[in-house]
Amino acid sequence: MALFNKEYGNLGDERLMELVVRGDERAFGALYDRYSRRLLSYFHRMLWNDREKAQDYLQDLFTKLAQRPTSYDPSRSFQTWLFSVANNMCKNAYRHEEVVRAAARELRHGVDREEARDGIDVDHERFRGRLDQELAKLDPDHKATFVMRYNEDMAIKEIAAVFGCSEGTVKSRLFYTLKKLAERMKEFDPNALHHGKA
Amino acid sequence: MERREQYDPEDIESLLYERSFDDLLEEERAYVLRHLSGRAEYEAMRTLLLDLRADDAQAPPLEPLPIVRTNVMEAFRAQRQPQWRIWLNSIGGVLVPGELPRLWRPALAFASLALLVVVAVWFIRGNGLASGDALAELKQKEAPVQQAAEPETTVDTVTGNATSTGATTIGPVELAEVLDVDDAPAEAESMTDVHYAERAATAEMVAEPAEDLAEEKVAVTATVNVKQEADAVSFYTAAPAPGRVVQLEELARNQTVANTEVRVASTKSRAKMADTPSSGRSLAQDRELASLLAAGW
Repeated sequence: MALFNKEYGNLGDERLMELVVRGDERAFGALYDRYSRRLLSYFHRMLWNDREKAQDYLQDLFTKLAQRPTSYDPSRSFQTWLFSVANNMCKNAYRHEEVVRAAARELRHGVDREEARDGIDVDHERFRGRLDQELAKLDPDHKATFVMRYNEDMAIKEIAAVFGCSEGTVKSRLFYTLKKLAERMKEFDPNALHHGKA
Repeated sequence: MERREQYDPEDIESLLYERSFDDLLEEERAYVLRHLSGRAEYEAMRTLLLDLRADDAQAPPLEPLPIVRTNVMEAFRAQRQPQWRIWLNSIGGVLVPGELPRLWRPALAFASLALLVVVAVWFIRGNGLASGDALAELKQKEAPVQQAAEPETTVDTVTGNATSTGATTIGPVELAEVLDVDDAPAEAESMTDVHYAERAATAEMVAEPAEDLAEEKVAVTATVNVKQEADAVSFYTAAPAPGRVVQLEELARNQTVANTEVRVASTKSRAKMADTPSSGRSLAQDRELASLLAAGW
């Protein structure tokens, strides 16, 4: 059994998807094991650090894949296809919860600004909270590009494939998103952060 | 232009990761300053990137819940499972229920109901056989059939005197028609022969007792001497003997004869249509009208 698992682990994503289309359960399990953590992290970042929601979306995504494996286009990279599906799910989540989240966001934003203004005990938890707030204000595509690049460590080419755009567009998005975020978060003392990490 | 081809925003990203603003080379610093406002902005972006990397390293890894994997795999199995297996599983669940002790009451009720149905069917069938024995008519029907040879001989003698058309075993009703056909053209005779053949089986089935046949033979011999136009009317309008009960078979035979008579009469009328000029019609002289009346009766 371990031998078979090892063989499945060595197979490429597209080959595993071929097996999944034929009904191979172990291939489907191998794909889940390969991408579940990354997708969970992606959903977590994209969906306001809501762990439960991230778990739900992860399950929904693989349930869709289980029910309609033929929806995968073999000519595309499986990873980019999977993340494009995940990105579309996040966009739908934004549409549904935009109004509710807007009120909660504004409330938290006011509190954090006061704490940041103090400039004392800046830790990574606060940094992450603030960064998520700023990311939430971005355009969904820019936010997804940023998360894929700096949280999921995806290559520019892969991100371009996910969004169906050119690599130059992705680079431009990343550059201006980074520039905008740095400007909005400049009240954080860089030295304090680096000292904290050390 | 050459510097733009050498560097792009992605290169700035690599520079941000690797070097501070002070450590940049002149060429790199010039490139950075074409895209950024100055040192402060560069350092802010650099800090953000480093913090992101540090945050990812320090953040506790998110692990998918085991239940998520279980649910996903179950969804995959359910999707891959053939429909006939699902159907068999449902049948298996019905046939082999998990809680047998709870089913003894409905099982007993169904068994009792089935027993009642069986007993009821048996009882009804038993009564039906008994009442069937009481239907003596069925046995009485077969007795005249065995005696049918007797009227046949009588008929043969009569037909021998009347005509030589070959009609022999069809009883007195056919005799009347044979007499009618006697004067008809040859075409009509052939037509009536066909009708005789068709009615042979009917005649066997509705064979009359010898007494009835004798009475009808007398009636036929009496009508032989009458005009041909009144044959059919006198035959069918002859009242039955007093005290005689008209049976269902006789009624059916009369109906059949009436229909046949209509056909024969129509054949004759077609044959004579050209010869007979159209004029006033009287019941006594118009055989067609008589036939129609007989058919209606």
